[in-house]
Amino acid sequence: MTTPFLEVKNLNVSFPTEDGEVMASQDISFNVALGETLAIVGESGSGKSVSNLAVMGLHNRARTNISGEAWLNLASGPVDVISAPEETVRRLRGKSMAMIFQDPMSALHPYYSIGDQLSEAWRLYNEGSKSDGIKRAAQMLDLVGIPDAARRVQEYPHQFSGGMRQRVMIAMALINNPSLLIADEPTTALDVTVQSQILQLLRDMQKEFNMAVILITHDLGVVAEVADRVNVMYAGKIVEKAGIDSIYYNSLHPYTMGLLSSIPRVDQLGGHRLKTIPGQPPSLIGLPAGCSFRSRCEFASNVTGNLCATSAPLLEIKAPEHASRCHLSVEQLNEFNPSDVRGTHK
Amino acid sequence: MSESVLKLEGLKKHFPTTTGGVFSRVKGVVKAVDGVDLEVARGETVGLVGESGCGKTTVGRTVLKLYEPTDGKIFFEGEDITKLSRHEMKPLRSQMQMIFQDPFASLNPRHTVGAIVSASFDIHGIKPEGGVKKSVQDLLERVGLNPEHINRFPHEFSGGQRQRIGIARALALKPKLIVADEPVSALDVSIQAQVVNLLDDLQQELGLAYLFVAHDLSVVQHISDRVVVMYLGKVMEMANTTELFANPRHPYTKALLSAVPIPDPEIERKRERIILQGDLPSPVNPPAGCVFNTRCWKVQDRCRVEVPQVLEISPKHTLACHFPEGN
Repeated sequence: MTTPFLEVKNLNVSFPTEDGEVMASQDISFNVALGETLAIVGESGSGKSVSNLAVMGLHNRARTNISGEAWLNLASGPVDVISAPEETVRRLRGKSMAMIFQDPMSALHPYYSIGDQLSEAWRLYNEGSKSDGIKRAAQMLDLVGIPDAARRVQEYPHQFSGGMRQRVMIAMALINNPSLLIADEPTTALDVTVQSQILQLLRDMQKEFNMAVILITHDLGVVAEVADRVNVMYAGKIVEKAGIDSIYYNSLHPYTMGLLSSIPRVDQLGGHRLKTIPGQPPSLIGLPAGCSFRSRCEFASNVTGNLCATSAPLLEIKAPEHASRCHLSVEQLNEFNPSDVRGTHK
Repeated sequence: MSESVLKLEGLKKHFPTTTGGVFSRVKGVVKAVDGVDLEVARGETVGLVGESGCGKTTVGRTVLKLYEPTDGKIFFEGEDITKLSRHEMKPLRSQMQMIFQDPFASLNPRHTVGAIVSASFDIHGIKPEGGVKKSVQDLLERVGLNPEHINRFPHEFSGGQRQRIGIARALALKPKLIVADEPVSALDVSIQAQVVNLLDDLQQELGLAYLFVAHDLSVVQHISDRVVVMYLGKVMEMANTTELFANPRHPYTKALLSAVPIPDPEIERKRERIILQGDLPSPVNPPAGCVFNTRCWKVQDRCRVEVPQVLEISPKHTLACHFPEGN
């Protein structure tokens, strides 16, 4: 196996507040290789964005407690972006790693033309005049499928539709040919028809630039469409980590199973009751001891003793390339996994 | 035929666009809704789907006469309410309610849950049996909230719970019709299922009719009896849910369905997608002929000049297309 481009080890991110410390991400470890797509799935507040913002060095260090490591294996040698000086991380950002966000309108500057904004990103790392930059910007816009790119570089963000703005964001993120692209809910604000255009574009760009892609999303449909591997997060921790098929057909965590059976599917007839996960995610301030999911877990009673309440389960490897944070045994988990999530489609 | 709660005939809502300034003139019209026919029966859920800007929300609001319709007719329980004044509408309003998308913006942060849910009693001068407090507590219990939380404020609740408060408020006056505008799209997956089930249960208990406006086709498919697909203010296709999802005839419906990701990697790998090019055209200046012709992969000359008529191709399945997909 090739060395991964990004290696995150035991990353913790927390925010001190007046009410106590918000444990936003705890004990996060994962790898992504070039050409591979890792999806990070979870509900709001599960820590999926926070941990990746830490990798990008986008947290205010004065107000955030970050520990752990995140190694970028660059051609010039590995760099730990967590311990590296801010200046070093700033130089990597936009060049070796880039990020796109959910809302392209608030991520683009309304006063500058698209061409200005793209060429600024390019000229930060490349020698060239402004008009070279605009030319390069037009090339990128063309590459991401914006028609009439040479003219449209002179336009402003408000003249673009939502889908087109997201294409602009992608063009800007890729203009310096980064090796890692973090896409944080890139299609959540878009209509399904435009969503499939953008997902297709991300796939094409990944091939073109041979990038490692981290896709942060709450949409398990999107994950099934693009991901190679999946991390499922709950209450700040990775609760399950496996290849795409193992997650969907042989999940080994009650939360993932619950999620998969609670979503209606367009290819399956309605009429049945949706399965629900009762209750709601816990507050990240003063998380109780034990498993954070136990109060919503329908199988917790099957664990001997009071283990779920007293000791937090570790993320352990339960099957090849498949880790889960649960006290239940693989046999129990397999037994509990409802068959209807294992693709009993026609 | 079961009794009809809501019926729309050729409903149109056009918004004028103006040049702005002191001597503002009308520049053009946005044809947000341009001739919609539909019917919702008692106990039935009709899903209204389409991309942003297709006019689905405008239909919902015009139905409740939050907007004055430009043309067409609205019947509520057989009565023509199109021309009713605000004053004449008031007694009917108690029978038609709305649930909103954003559970954060739709609840007044300075009012307690009790005040929010009971506001409609005051407005309509209704004295519920057993007193206001008792009724509010019953409502809270019915939507799965703790009745003791009647004096709490919206910020003390999570998104899913707030949406339940919005539902309790809509139920207070025992309405016959509820227009739900994207009621679950702001919620997390695990919470979304709870609210969808709640809406299902309430419909069964109370015989409510829902006009369910949403862009998420998976949810619409799950909850609706019939589905209406809109594009640029017009109805493209309408059929009962099973029929529409199994056998979409309009190219737009087909493209829309194929764009919805399915949470199943094996299916996703094999699936052939119809990726529509471009974006929704501007409703100020919709394309001539069939409004979908600029993005349709089956477009022919006829589509660019002649507006397709809405035809009933089989019982209860209507379609507006010159070249529908095969059966």
